Amino acid sequence: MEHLKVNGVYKNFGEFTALEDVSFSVSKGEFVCLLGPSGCGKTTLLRIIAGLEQPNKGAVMMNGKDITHLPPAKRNFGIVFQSYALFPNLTAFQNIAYGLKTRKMTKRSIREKVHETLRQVNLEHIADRYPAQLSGGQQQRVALARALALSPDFLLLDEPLSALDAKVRVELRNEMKRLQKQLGITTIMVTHDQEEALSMADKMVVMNNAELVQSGSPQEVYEYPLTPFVSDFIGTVNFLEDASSLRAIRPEHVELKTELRENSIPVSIENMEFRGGFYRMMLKNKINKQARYLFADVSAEEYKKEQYELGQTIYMKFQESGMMHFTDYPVQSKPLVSSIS
Amino acid sequence: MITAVKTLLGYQETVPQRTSSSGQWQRLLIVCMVVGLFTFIVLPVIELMERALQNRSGEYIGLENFFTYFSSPSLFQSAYHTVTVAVITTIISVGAALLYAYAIERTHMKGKTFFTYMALLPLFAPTMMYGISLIYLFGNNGVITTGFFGTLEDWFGIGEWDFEIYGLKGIVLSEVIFTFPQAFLILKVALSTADQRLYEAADTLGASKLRKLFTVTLPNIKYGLVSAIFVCFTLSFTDFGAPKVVGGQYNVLATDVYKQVIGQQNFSMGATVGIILTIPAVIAFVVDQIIQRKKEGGISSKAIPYKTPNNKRRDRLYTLYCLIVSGMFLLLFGAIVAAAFVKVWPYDFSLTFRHFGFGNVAGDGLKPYWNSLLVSSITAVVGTFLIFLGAYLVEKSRYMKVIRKISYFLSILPIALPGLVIGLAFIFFFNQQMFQVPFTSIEFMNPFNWLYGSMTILVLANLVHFYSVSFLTATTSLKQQDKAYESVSEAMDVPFYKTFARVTLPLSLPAILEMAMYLFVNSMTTISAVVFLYSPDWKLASIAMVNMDDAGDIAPAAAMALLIIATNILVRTLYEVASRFLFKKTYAWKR
Repeated sequence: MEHLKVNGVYKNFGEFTALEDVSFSVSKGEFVCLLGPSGCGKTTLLRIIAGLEQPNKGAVMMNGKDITHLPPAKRNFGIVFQSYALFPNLTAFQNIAYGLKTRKMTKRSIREKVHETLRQVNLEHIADRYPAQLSGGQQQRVALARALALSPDFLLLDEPLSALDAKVRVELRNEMKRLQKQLGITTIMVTHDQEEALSMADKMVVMNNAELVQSGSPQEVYEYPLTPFVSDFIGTVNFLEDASSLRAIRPEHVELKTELRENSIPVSIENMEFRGGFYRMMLKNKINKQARYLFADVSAEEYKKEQYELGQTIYMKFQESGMMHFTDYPVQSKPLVSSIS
Repeated sequence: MITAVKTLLGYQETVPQRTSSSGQWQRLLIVCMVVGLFTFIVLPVIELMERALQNRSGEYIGLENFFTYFSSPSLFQSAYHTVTVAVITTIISVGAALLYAYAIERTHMKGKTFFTYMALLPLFAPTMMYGISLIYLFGNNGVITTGFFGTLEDWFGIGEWDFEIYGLKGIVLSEVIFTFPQAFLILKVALSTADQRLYEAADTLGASKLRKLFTVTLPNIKYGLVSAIFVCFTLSFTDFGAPKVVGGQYNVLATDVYKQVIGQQNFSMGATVGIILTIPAVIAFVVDQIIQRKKEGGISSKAIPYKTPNNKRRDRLYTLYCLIVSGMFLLLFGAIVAAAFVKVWPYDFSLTFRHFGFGNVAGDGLKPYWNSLLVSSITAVVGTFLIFLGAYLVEKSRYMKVIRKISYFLSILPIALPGLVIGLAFIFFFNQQMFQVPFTSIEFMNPFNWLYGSMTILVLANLVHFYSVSFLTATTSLKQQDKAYESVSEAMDVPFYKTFARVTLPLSLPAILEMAMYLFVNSMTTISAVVFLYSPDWKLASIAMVNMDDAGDIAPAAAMALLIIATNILVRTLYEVASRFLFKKTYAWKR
């Protein structure tokens, strides 16, 4: 049985539609990422699951029971906000003990619990510091500890890493994932960062314009996107259109050759971006000059060998295995997001 | 009707949520708040409006009172006088305050702290005081009128001057002094946030100083300038104290209201003039709401603070200017001090404390002073608590969205109500034995009638009078606190009052101190609302001042003014000390 189920949820703010008929489910111990561009309704969905907003229609079920009418306090979840919402006038210790104090616990067991949670996030040494005296990453972990201290059934994270530096973000990504697996706590995280979602999620729920577009494992969503929007939002993609259909292919499934071959398109090199292990080439179609730029990835080794130059004419060929077909999407309803990104 | 209101306010049907007991308490408090605001703000104003549509015997006569008013030359003349006072005051006050604020914020002049306090000095005194000091300086026996009591004539042969201080000149001078600190504070804030990048951009594009003034500086402070203009206009339009003391034969609307009500017992005409008195404040209110909406996102977060360039000549000029302005304020306060301590002006200049006895005069001894102290203290304590709680519920609760929106509107509404109008509305509302339900013949006893003539009604009038500014202070402070504090607490099943006490209150302490200080100081100096409401047992210091002045006992009136000022300066000092202490204590978590 599903641990948590969101069933046909609708939400409007005045004229604005934030959620339209959104349904998905979460299994016990799963790490689910709600992913989408800003304004797609993912944070509203999280707040509805938490009980901080009420839907206009639809239900939130937990272990088969309808909990839509329950106030947040009765839903037993821990929550971490983008801003962390640490109380600035309380120390890290006091912040974590904050929720424990209302449960009938002895002073001693509160202290033990706080220290145990601090240990879990590797922050025992900063117990007596105020939030302003902590780094961003430390603050984030204190907020996480505060949520975990109450041993919630599930954990809700609202863009918990987006306020951090790139490097700290990657570190914390791994640490949070490790902790989540170790505690086996069901987690729902909102993010707009596709890389973060791909690397952390057991299951991704992709949203756009108040609707759920696709849900599935990161591999599934990346390799078999259901719509052009998903293919473009998760990773980079080249759209290939003809009269009747829309196809797409990712840059890593494009081969580049310096000589003309069968089924290849002549292109000129517009730009070459160094990405560490590989180069991303921005290419211009030489036959159809109105067409959008195309992207192809070239390994650093190959790049050195071929010695590409700007403006040089080369030939690109698509690997049929990597081709995605969007038969339901005629050319008129092309993706809204440009492939030049 | 209800659906229409709900749609208008963006209410939408949602799946109901069972409310926790903590939430039930919030709902109860929100309902109490809106009922309280409605009862003590809206109902009295409705009562006042009804009265303006009635004749003296209580029959409805439509707008006839307004026609009578505008067709009576003497009454119409007061309206003309009032506009004249307000326009001249606004021009002088905003201009002078702009230069002064510029000197503080945009020069390297020395003694800025001193000059800032000097500019705020008039805030501590009732407006009658400026009138009285002006009389001592420029009146028939004034220091300057008589050429320092003949000294100038002896030395230089310059004779007596007649300033004709009673009338337009006296009122305008008093109002300029009264409104100067308000305009100064607004413009100081407006000038304090400037983006250095804009000035650098202007410099690289070769803009002249004048061009920079019109393309960078003025656009940057335009909202502050508009606010300052409206504040000065409405304050001087509605002030009662100064024209009462120094107005002479120059009638203005505020003194008309008083004369109609107290002198002629013509309450309907009083109400009519009261409504006319409210017009500029209502316009200012609407304009301010529009400005507030536009203002958001005015200065970008990436802005670099303005660095004032070095310019010795400019600094010297502004220092001179600030010295002259502060000197004038000091002169006024000096005149009051002299008036309070000199035995018989201008015949016997020996010093005495006897004016502080208030024994033989219309002043009732020191009792009014103690009354004022008590009323102001209660207003400060009760007001700060209630207003902060109200602002908290409006800002932080997630229940009863529509009612919270209504409460917000009702909370900022009193800013558009002049004190005299609040006082009048309160008489009509509290003095009535029976209430009639509109459009029916159902009548019931007025449950608030017993408050009439009590001390509580004075506190209530002060609360309504000073509600909005304190409410906005609280709201600003609350807005700076993360809204997620409440969500997090709720998720952790911590009742809202615990988070309120442990997090919200400590974080808002500076604002709370400021609110208490504001409420106290203003309750000490105000006269307009309470002048209609006091009973012989509860005469206040400011009212005693007016009574003594009326009776010709100007020296004791000056002595009373001095007591009020001294008390307010003391309270302000306490506030500064407490703020500093608080800042040090909370330094750890602010870093």
